[in-house]
Amino acid sequence: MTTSGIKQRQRWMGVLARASGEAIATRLEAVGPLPAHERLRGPETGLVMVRGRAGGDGAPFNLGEMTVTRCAVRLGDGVVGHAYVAGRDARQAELAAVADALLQGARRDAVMAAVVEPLAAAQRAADEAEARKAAATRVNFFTMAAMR
Amino acid sequence: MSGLLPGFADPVLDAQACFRAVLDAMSRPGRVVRLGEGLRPPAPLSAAAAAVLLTLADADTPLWMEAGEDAAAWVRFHCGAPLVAEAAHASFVVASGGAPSLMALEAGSDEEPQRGATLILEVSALVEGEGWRLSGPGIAHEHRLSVAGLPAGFAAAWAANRARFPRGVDVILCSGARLAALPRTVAIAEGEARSVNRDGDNNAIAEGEARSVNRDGSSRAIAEGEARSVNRDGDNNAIAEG
Repeated sequence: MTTSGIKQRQRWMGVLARASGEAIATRLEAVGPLPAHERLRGPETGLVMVRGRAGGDGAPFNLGEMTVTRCAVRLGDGVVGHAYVAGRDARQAELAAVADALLQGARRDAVMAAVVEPLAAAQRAADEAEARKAAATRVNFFTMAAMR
Repeated sequence: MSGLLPGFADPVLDAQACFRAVLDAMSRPGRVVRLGEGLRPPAPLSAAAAAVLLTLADADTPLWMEAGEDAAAWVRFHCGAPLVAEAAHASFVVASGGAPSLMALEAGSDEEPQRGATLILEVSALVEGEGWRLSGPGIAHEHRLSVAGLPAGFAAAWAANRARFPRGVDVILCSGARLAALPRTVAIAEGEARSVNRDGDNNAIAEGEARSVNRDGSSRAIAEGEARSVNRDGDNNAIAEG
């Protein structure tokens, strides 16, 4: 896979990981009947250690553990899709893995247009609404150095 | 690459059942157990060898195998075991006819004999009741096992392996969904079927084993019977509620 291919896959995997299972299911229905898939692994829930670093030159430390559900599926044509999502939503993980497999196959453009782009737009809109709400409460501090 | 194949259908219960089967095989050397039925491993791996790997191999057990890229990808995905280039550094070695010599594998030390490697050897057939005469811990008198498709000079290498006890290598023989184990304590004597009487005895032993299998079956039937009685209780409750 080329670097741009990896970038694109990272993007759609990120979008799918942030979307709810309901939302992915609704969008996937629009694509048409889903191909049969078999589970290679999971969906199973476990913990991953999130590591942090204080500043650019700080020593890495363990921030804490995070609940993650992962799933790997294989479509009939042998394409394997993976998903790692935060939380315990097994359905989301499985659907995200199916979508990941579809996005690597011939129906990529259709799935991209029907599933990933609308979900990404909804997530962007939600982020912007949140940012606007936060911005409305912004307080500017300044020093009145010029006043005598 | 043909794409990954699935592992155990139920990872927890299947791995527990396989662990029990391997434990039985190790504690009764030469006894053939069945495991891994229903498993579809990538091409050169047998179902039994794949089940053993899924059960025992993990990120802490370096693995050496020569089964090709598909099998390597499958093991990496399902077991997470690191694949090493040198068989001498591996805890598990999966091999068939061209297996590395027993003496070349990790044998542990006198202080830590448990570090000895386990060789999972793919063979073409395992037949009880003929061939080798096995004796040692776990065998009352002797157990007969015939193995087809072993690497050349295996019996001699085994004698040398056994001589360095407590150090040594344990061997698991796999053929399809059948498995027999040779822990390092077992002594192998080449035996040929000479007298008719002995053959008769062996057949009797085989029949005894068949009966014990039946006994297992009947115990399962009893378990099912209990399940049914629970159902009946459920019905009673339903009636009482009605």
